[in-house]
Amino acid sequence: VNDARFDRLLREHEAVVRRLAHSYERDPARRQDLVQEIWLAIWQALPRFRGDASERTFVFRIAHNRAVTHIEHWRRRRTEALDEDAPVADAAPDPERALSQQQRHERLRAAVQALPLNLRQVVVLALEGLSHAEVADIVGISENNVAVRMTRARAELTRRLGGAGRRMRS
Amino acid sequence: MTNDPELKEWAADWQAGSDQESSAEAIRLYAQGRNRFMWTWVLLELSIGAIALPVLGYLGWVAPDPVQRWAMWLLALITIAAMSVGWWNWRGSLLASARTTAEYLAVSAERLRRMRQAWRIGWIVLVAQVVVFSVWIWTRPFGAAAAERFAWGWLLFMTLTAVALMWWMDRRIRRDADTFEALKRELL
Repeated sequence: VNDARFDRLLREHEAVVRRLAHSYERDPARRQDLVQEIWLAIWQALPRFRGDASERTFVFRIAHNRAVTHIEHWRRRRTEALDEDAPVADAAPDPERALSQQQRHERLRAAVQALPLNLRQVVVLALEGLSHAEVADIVGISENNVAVRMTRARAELTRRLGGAGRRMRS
Repeated sequence: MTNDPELKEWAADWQAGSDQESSAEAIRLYAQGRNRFMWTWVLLELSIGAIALPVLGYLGWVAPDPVQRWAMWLLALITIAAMSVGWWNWRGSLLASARTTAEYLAVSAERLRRMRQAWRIGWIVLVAQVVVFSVWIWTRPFGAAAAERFAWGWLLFMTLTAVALMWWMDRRIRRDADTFEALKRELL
């Protein structure tokens, strides 16, 4: 039963887990390790999952906790998983050139990767469509705190994307 | 979901991201394989303990003198401690399902605190072990001087190895504690 359930979770949330891993790790090999560690943790936790939260919350919770361990692991080795001060590529693009959705995704991802960890954690969940209440439940902070962090993250993203996010769509 | 139009646009862009997909089958095989490996490791440790403990207990029981008896029982104690640490580490790998990140960090910090306690107890056991084995070698009639030198050398080697291991553990625990504190400050 768990094998079938795991396969279903894998099908439904694989892309989400990959995006989340990408927001914490730029290096492709280490990112692949993180993705595998997340799925291993899900595999191990699945038999004890009693449905007290949605499956989506369950997956996000484990993914974030594993990401924290990943960051801790690499910091201990004095290697940053992500350089938070890295510039966002193509921060001031030609306004005449409308970017494809994939390009917009890459710019947004670079901007998210550059956020401080506490902001990145909430914004990644919000971008996946989770409500403030769900984010608060996963991270273990109050909804007010989520709102405050989201406001700061949003301002930071707007600044890093050069306020061009919407202009580029024209 | 938010009513903020810009955030909605960002969410659409974000969710449109198409990294190269991992093979679902490969991930499943990896998870199964690692899980099997961890279980095998735990069972191996338990099996070694299940054989070693009765043997050491018996040798301690039939030992002709109290020093040898204590030496065997202390070895049994070290075996139990090693098995407990192995089990504890394995249980630790299941912590990722903690309810929140805050809880996860708290449990991780608690694990580190207990590891530090275990480290302190480890020093006491090591000192006791060295004392007992020193008395044992000192009082045991070896017959040949070379055999006695070998026994002292072996004890010295084992002690230095254990001290190096304890030193490495101390550094690791300190580093883990510092990193977790920094993460806690950053995340919560």
